[in-house]
Amino acid sequence: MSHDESLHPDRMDGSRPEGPPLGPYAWWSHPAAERPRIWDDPANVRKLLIGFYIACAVLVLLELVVDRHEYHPWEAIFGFHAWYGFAACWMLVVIAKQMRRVLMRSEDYYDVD
Amino acid sequence: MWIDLPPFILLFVGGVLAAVTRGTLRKSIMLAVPILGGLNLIGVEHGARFQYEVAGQTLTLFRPDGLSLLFGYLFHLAAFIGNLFALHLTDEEGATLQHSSALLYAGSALGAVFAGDLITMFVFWELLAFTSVFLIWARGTERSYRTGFRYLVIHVLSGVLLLSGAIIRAQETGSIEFGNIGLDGSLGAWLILISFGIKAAFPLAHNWLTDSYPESTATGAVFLSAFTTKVAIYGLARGYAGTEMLVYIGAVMTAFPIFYAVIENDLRRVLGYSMINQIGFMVTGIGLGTALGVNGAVAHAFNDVIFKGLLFMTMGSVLRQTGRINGSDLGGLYKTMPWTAAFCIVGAASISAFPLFSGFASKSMVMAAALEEGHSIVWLVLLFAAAGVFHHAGIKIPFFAFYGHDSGIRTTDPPKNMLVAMGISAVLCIVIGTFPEQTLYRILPFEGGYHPYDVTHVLTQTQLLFFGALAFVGLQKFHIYPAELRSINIDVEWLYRWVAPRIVGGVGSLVSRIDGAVRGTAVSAARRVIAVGSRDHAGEGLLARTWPTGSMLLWVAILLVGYITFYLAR
Repeated sequence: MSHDESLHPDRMDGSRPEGPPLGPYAWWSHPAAERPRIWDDPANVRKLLIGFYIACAVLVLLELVVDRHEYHPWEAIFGFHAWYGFAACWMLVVIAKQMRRVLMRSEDYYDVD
Repeated sequence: MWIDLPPFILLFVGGVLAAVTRGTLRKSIMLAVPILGGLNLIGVEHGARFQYEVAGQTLTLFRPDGLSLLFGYLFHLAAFIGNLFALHLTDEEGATLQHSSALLYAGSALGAVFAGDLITMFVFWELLAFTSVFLIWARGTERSYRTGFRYLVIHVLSGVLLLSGAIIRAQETGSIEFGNIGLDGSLGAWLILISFGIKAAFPLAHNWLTDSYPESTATGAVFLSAFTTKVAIYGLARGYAGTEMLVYIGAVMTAFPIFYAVIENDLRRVLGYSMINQIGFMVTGIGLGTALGVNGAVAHAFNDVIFKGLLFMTMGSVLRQTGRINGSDLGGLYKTMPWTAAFCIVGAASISAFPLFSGFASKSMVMAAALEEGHSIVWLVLLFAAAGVFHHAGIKIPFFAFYGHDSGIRTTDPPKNMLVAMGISAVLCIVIGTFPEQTLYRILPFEGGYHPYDVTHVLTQTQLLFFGALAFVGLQKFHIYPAELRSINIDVEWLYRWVAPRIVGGVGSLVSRIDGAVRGTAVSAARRVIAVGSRDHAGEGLLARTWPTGSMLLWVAILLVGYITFYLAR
């Protein structure tokens, strides 16, 4: 991979130079092409996500076998921390997105007199 | 301990030497000073010394005890890591200014935490502001210049409040010693609390932090994030432990900034908001006032300096290598900055309190203390904030900078000294997180064992974080997650950066219009008088023709009227 080639200002958007389509190993013979990285392949991303979903399921199911102490009455609810974490983050983002309607300004808002 | 000396002296000497030396010599000084100073603190004897009588009061320059020593070690460590991270700076980047002020700034922080009285603390309190502002100004942009002034005004104000509070307390109690103050209803105690609150970025007084840190230099933010707010946390822990109001202030601090962090585009400003969130946990722990709560607060301060420093270092590297820091401009950098990306993930895992990472060992202490004291609602807020911080600092920062949409930017990892500094911090995050009882817990100021690693706690925390991440995946999949937009969000600063200038501007233009009219009338009247008077005085260049005389006449008249009014009204 050549850093100089890829830094060409015309290609700062990540586009490839024009020409015939390049194969997956073209980076070897064709310096302008980039070696594909691990997350460029959607199959890898899918594998990661499937592993993640399984981990989530296992974490909740572990509650059935692990003797868990409760320090707060709500913790008696099955999977309390799981759904609380999920709901908290979902709400956080949905509310924050609505806050933009009121709070968002252009980047030079304070610079303009 | 080799020499019994207040620690700030060595750092101040280093700061001066850094200003007059160059090259390898300066680099050696930058690294040696914090190491020697830190080693010199090991095994130091507790107790106040270096005391001087001034005007009937005792000034104490060096008071090492459990609490101040923890911050003493921490600040030496932070200065070393920060200096290593900034070691490559060239003269074009303002190396002399930045190196020198960084050491003086670290020295001021050490002076403040080892000060045994409020007046000495005040002096270092102000020095913290005056030495650190150069790390903002060194950026050299118009924006950083203005931000630096706002930063300075707010911190000087905080210092003035501290001094006023100290004077009032000295009159009431006869002593300026800095011990437990507590809110006893006296004005002095309130003023000091507000002064600490401004530096600790309490809600409504928080905006200086998110305003200034993102405008500082790539390396300067690392120092800024380490010292100022942590000195304030030290002050609160020393003076206001067990003040119940702080429990609620802290809870608010954990919750509100995370909303801002989600929609903020500048990734260093996101870190600023998440910093307020982390300080919230500390403030809550201090407010609880139990041994577990205060230990948790200062332990979290210790960890925060390291992992927040690490995150600021990774974002500083991104800024240095790409010249960009907005989420909307970045993405896919893991391809060309793999080390930085890996360090960022360690920092993100630590701030999110993943088991085996440092945040876990300290944040859990504060949360356990909140439950022990029966603060059920506060605990739920803290739990919400703990999930939320993972969302924005743990996922958003690494994802939008290093993964996500490929921005097409191709660069390299930063210079070696920056990588080594990040590497040291990352190792510390993991070592402290994995073996807290062998490391950090040994230097905590108060007695009381705490064992973070039990099955319940590890499981529940992992559930919380994984399902928080699941929410992120879902929000991305359904395209609900707000896109990074080139924008800013108004905050409290809107009042003093937008509203106030317009009110002042409006009043000002009104005043100047009235003033102009009055002056015009007066001047023309005076000119008529002079014209009449000078008719017989032939010749040119009469003094009365000029403006200053006209307005002088007016002001003399006003003074006269005022004097007579006061005289009669007496």
